[in-house]
Order: sequence, then C-alpha cells, then structure tokens
Amino acid sequence: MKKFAFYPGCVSRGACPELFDSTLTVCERLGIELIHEPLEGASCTGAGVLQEKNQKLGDTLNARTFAMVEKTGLPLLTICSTCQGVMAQANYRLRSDKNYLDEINRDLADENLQYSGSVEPKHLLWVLFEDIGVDYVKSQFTRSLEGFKFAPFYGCYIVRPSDVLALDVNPDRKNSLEQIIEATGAELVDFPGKTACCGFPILLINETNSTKMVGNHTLSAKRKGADAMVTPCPLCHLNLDGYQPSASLLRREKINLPILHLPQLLGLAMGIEPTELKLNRHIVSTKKIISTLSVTP
Amino acid sequence: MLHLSGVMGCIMCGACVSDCTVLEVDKSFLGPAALAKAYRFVSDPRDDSTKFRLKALEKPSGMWDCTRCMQCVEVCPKGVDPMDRIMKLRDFAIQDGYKNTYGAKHTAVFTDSVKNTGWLNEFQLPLRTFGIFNVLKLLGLLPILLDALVSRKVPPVFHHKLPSVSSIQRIFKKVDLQITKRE
Repeated sequence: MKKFAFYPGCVSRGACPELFDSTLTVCERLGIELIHEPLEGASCTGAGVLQEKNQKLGDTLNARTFAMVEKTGLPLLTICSTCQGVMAQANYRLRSDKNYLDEINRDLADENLQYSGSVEPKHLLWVLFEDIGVDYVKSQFTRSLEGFKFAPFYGCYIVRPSDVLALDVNPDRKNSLEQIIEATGAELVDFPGKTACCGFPILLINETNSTKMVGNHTLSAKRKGADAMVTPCPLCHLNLDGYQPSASLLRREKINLPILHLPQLLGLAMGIEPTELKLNRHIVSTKKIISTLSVTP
Repeated sequence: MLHLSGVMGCIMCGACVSDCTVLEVDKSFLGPAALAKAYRFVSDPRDDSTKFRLKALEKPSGMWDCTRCMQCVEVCPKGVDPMDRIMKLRDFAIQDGYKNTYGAKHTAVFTDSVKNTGWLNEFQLPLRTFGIFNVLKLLGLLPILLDALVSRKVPPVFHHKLPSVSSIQRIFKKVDLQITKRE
C-alpha cells in the first residue's frame, strides 16, 4: 500500500458524493491508502475565486495545507483538477520567492506550522502514472470496456498554465486521460474541446455563456460518437452533467451524454459494480452504459 | 510602475483573443487583450479616471465574464498574462466599492463561506449570490434543484464547520487586513 495525505476538496464532500465514494473504492483496489485525518482541518484552496479578492490570503491558506502535509511526511493527493491547479499555482509562487514564503510562514507560526516548500500536490490522474505505474493500473482491469467510446474532458486547471504544472517535465500529464481511456479497452473520442473551459466558473454570473459552453462540448463529443465523457474535475462534472438539460433546451437538440468521474471509469474497468461506483447519482442518466455492461461478458 | 511594463509589452498579436473560450460563445465579451489594456490604465497612478473605467468594466460583457480558464496566459508570447490582469481588475473593483454585480457578490459569498466554515457552502453560494429576494433568479434554480434532488446530488443544507476553523479565521484576520495596494 502506498500512503497519501488525502485532500478531497469541497465538491466531492458536497454535490459530488459519488466521486468521493468511488475514489475510496478504486484507491483501495489500487493499493493507494488515503490518509484522511491530517487534512481534515485543511481549508478550501480558494478555487481561484478567493484569489480574486486577495491572492496572498489564498496562498497563505494553501501554504497552511502544505505545512500540514509536510508534518505527515506523506505525498499529497487530490481528486479535483481545480484544487490541483490552484494549489500548484500557490506552490509555484511560494517556492519561487523566499521572502514571500518567509512572510507567509510568519502568519502560520501561531499554529506552529512552517512550510519549507517540499510538497508536490498531485491529482489521482497523475499519481496513476507517476507513483503507481500505468502497467500496474492496467493489471487491475478485469473488465474490458471494448465497444464503448469515451471522450476526455480535463478541466482548465490541470492543463494550464503548463509551466506551473510542469507538463514538459512530466509529458504523461499532457495525455494521461486519453491513455487511461485507451487502457480500459474503450475507444478514445478525441475532440478539440477536451482542454477548454466547461463554463462552471461563470455559471452564476453569465448562465447563458456557461450553458453554451456545456452545449458546445457535449454535442461536439456526442457527434463524434461518444457514449460518455470522462473528467478528473468535479466542477466540470457539475456543469456538464447538471446543466446538460438546459444546454439541450438551448440548442434544441437531445444530448444525453453521461459525464463520468475518472474513478468511476477506473472502477468499471476493474469490474466493480456500477451501483458501488454510484453511477446512479448523476443527473444525465448512465442507464445505457450500465445496461450495455450487464450484457457484456 | 514596473508592473506596467509587463502589460505594456503587448504586441497586439491577437493570440489571446483568438483562443479566448468566452469569445467563442459570446462576441460581445470585451476579451483578454482589451481588459489587459484596461488594467494598464486602472493601475497607473497617473490616471485619474479609475472610477469611470471600473464602472464601465463591471458591466455585462466586462471583467466578470472571464471564466479564468488561463488560455490567454498560456498562449501570450509576451508574458502579459491577461487573465491575471483581469483578476487584479476584479480586486480593484471590490476595493473601490463596485460590489453590486453577481461577479463581485459571488466572490464575496465564496470568501465569506471559507472564512466562516473553512470550506465552500455550495448550497448557500447561489442563494446568497443572487440574493434571497431575487425571485426570478431563484426560480431559475428550480430545475437544477429538482434534478439534483432526484439524483441525490444536493449539497448538504446544514454545512458544518471544519475542526480548526478558528485558525483559518485567524489567517483571514491577519492577511485580509493587508489589503493589496495598487503598486
């Protein structure tokens, strides 16, 4: 078992409980031990929203989380593309300016916390390649998903800015989701929107634009034959799944494209029951996928 | 004024405009290049039209319509980082009291939630951003609420506080008071 300090993010403990539950099930199968206790008091990353008001405040809260992780001596694992990106950006600023880090550490001293800069926040998607090994992950797949066509959807913060996320140093990060989809036996549906914005950040500000983005991406994948979309970002899931009915009305076209969380795809390939992966807790029905699975030997 | 040199490096190549994910769906959006240029004036201490500019920029199709997708930051060949400039414009707008937009309210409610409980209260975020007397907007939430109820995806109505919320609040008190001044 490989141990990680687990940072689930707000959404997997809120509107996406199916992500939280399927992560626990899949990680256990993969020999990933998620240690919850050290980060139970860790705050929200700020999601880029709090940073609009005060970037230093966001960096201090994230430095606090990193300091808590350093105390455990464990690597940090998250399951949210947005948390991944916001933490990576904060870490980048903290590590590249010693004076800034010292200043922030002074604000953490009240809690006896100090951050030295050693933490590498990592999304489960990256952990599969860099810590577990994709061959081992494949060896745990017992059910071929051949016949299915899946489209990837990354979420902005796990692909940009590429220098902060060290994509060139770790080239698997650029196409990890495509590689995982293909490893399950499913056919990859590549489409240009896979690294675009889902529209979630402006949902409450400009719902029309946000819904147009949902419609563009889901229809684009659907027209290329996708049976479902797979995402490592729960915020993208919320918009692409939850607002797909609105996008369908806006475009006057049926979409019905299920949006799977990354651990749900892994779980299906591992032969885990769809109910255990909470595939029934989606707004866009996943029944078609489940019924196809049940007749697949 | 050194911070202005970065944004003044714009060569008007249009890469940020052609890759902007908002412009793809809404041609009325001011766009990253124009907003970065707006920042150049708003953050210039010699400029005396800040309030006039922020008032125009907070309107629909302005600074609050950016999705923060960072596409413009990624493609800019001159390090102008338009999205970061847009974030600073939002910061300036909030500091200068331009808070009566859904964008500014969204930021305020989000920040409040982290301050008071340590994490995001997803249930309250739309209600407080729109305002509890904003009947039309609240009615607009009904379809998603019903869909979420059926698929049991409604975030917890009773939002608990994180165990060490007092430490988080102490950080807010210390750092939030050090308001980011215009350099």
